[in-house]
Amino acid sequence: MKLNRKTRFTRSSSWVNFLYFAVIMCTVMFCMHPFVLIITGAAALIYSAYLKGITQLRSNLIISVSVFLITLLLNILFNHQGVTVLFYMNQHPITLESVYFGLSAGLMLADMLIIFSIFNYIMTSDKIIILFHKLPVLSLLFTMALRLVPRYKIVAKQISQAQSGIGQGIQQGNIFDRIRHFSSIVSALVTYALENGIETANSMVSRGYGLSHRNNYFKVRWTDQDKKELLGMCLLLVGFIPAFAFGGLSIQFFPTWQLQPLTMLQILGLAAYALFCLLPWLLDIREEKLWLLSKGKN
Amino acid sequence: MAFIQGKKLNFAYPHSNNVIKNITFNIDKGSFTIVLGPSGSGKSTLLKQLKPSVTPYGHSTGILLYEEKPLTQMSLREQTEKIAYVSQDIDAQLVTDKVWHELAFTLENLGLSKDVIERRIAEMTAFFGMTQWLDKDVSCLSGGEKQRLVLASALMSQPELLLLDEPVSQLDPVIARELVDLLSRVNRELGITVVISEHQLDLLLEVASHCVVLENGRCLYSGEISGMLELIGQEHTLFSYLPEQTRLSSLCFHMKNVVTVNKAKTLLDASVIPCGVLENKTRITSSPVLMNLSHLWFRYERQLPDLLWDLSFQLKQGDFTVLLGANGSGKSTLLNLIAGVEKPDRGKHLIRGSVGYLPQNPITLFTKNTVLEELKVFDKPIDNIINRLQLTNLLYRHPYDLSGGEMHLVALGKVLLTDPDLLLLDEPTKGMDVSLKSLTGRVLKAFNQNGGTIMMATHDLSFAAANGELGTMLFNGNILPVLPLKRLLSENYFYTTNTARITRDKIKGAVLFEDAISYIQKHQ
Repeated sequence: MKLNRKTRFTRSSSWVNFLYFAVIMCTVMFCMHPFVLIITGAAALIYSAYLKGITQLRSNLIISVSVFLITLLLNILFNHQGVTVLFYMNQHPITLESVYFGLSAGLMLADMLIIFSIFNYIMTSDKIIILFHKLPVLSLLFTMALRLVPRYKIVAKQISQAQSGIGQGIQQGNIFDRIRHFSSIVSALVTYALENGIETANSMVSRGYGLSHRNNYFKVRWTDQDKKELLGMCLLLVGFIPAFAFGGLSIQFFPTWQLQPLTMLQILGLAAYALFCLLPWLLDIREEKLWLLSKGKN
Repeated sequence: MAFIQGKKLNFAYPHSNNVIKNITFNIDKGSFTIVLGPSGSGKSTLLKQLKPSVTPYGHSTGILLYEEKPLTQMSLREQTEKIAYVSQDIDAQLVTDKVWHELAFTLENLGLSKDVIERRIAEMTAFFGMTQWLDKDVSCLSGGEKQRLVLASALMSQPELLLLDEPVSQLDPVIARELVDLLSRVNRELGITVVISEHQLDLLLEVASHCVVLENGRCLYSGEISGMLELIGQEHTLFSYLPEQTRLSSLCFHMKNVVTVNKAKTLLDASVIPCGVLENKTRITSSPVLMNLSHLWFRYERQLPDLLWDLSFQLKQGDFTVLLGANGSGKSTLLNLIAGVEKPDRGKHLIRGSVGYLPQNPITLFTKNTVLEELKVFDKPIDNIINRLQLTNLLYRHPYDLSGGEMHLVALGKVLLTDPDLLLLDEPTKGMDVSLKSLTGRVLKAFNQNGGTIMMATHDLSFAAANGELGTMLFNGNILPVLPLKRLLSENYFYTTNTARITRDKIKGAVLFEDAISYIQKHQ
């Protein structure tokens, strides 16, 4: 199991994490305004670099940039909407609007990729389970799956090795033998899984599964810090939702590219949004400062 | 007032004869009771009767009382609270992915509040010394840690009665010792009544207070351990199930109730028997090299340290080499590498002839629905193997329905059918009772005498001493020099047989129980 570095935001309640990702993912998906995309991307990059270090960031960036470039290229080549023709290629018009749209769409996908890499890092399996806690059966199913997958992986490897130890491996014999060996290994694994399922079910019954009034236990607490963080996020949300709400930050690509000038409300909204995006990073570095200070006192 | 009372208890699986027959027994409150007997004597079946929610489907008659009330009338909730059951298969019993969740599982089912659950987890993790790994994934735990987790989870509901189905014989000695110590603490310090079905008595006899002896589904005895030791004399069929120290004291000094090595050693040391040295003849083979490993390196993942490094090792044709070593020292890995199912990172691996490999978990060899089909996989005549391993009664059973020892036996048969030049065995006697072990020993010796080469990793040192020729240990990623096995065992302190521990100061080189007995009886 990969052990991730613990920071303030990874310690926050799953609901705080979830709210953060839900808001920025939705924003990026539904708003293609260049400022929004740039703010989100920059914040995600900063936080990703902070969490995972420069080496990891570089490999993330390579993927994001290539996705960005491919999206841009595809749009330029195959999207012929728009009125401002730059030049013709094989009698197909290449338009300025499609360049703008490609830039935005590419940026959006690149942003999404970086956000997902952070999401993966923060939202570990036990954080996701907590989100399901109102659905006890689903959350139990999820934990059981997480228990079974690594176990069956090990058994699959053991079976395959044991079979090759008696000349029945996937790499042994002619092509027909190999197919036969492979299918018996799969069937052995299925038998094993079924038999073990029965054993596990017995163990569950023996330990009282199926009694009424089952109560889901989670090893987390709802702390004051979580409440403060949630409150802060909600305040920022209130700050920037009006800026987005009345079409102020909408953008038109076709037939002509039109970006409306920003009003004061929208500038403030964007600032609040930027703060929201940077919140995990700010919380983390604040936590580090506090820790150093508290150690410094002694 | 007896805690649990069984009167004229019978049980039969559907469409078969009674597995337990007319059993009458008592289990006292606060006792540590072993249900003992050979494989197939009905131990597990009897144990499962004591908790109705794990009793298999079948027909039962007779009376079973729990504190004077019929056990069958106990509600599911009461059973969950009062009776904990731990089955043989450790991995299959762990339901969830995190240690803390596993501990909480029973209490969640009982619908206890968060406060109570946390208090119990806090208590139990302190008792079992597992506070450090509460947040770990269950799949990352070692075998010993998993065993402890299973036990701790079973005790979370604060039961009065703890049932364990053959917990010891599937484990290697170090983990088994740890488990027995824990069980003894649970019994002594918490006052929980412990009932264990088991045929491997080496460790249990010193901590148990009572026992129920079964043979062929009948109850021979129910009461205190000392009474059982009195009953099972050297003429008795179950005598060979007793630990070496008990048998030695009984045979040589007519002391029937010795259960510790220390007591037997004191008896021997104080006796008139003169000091002596047993010469162990070893076959010196000058036969050609069958398998050669030179400068082998291996690790499982790039970031991990090397498990084996710069390891060089040879096997000559006709060798029977026993490989000893701690858990996780890489014994199984080395066998994997010799068998060629795992590739070394560096180094040469040379083998002249075919390899047959019996891995630690015999289930991984089974791909068919009956033992017969299992053996027919190779399209070779199977009658010879069936006779040699006495598999006739097992032929139409599903491999998964066999007992642990029988599984190993069938798996051995399957491997022998490939007609290997080199036979690799990883813990081949796990879960076997005395009679299956001696059968396996005979088969392996015959294979060896017909020119077959054997390399065996095992923790069962009595079995190794009785059958192996050469021995070596794996330590620090390397193989220590190969010695004649009996010399190695007689020089070892911990990795040796109980007989060798008892005779250490009196009779040099007495590793085998039979050798020690004949020496003592000659000089008495």
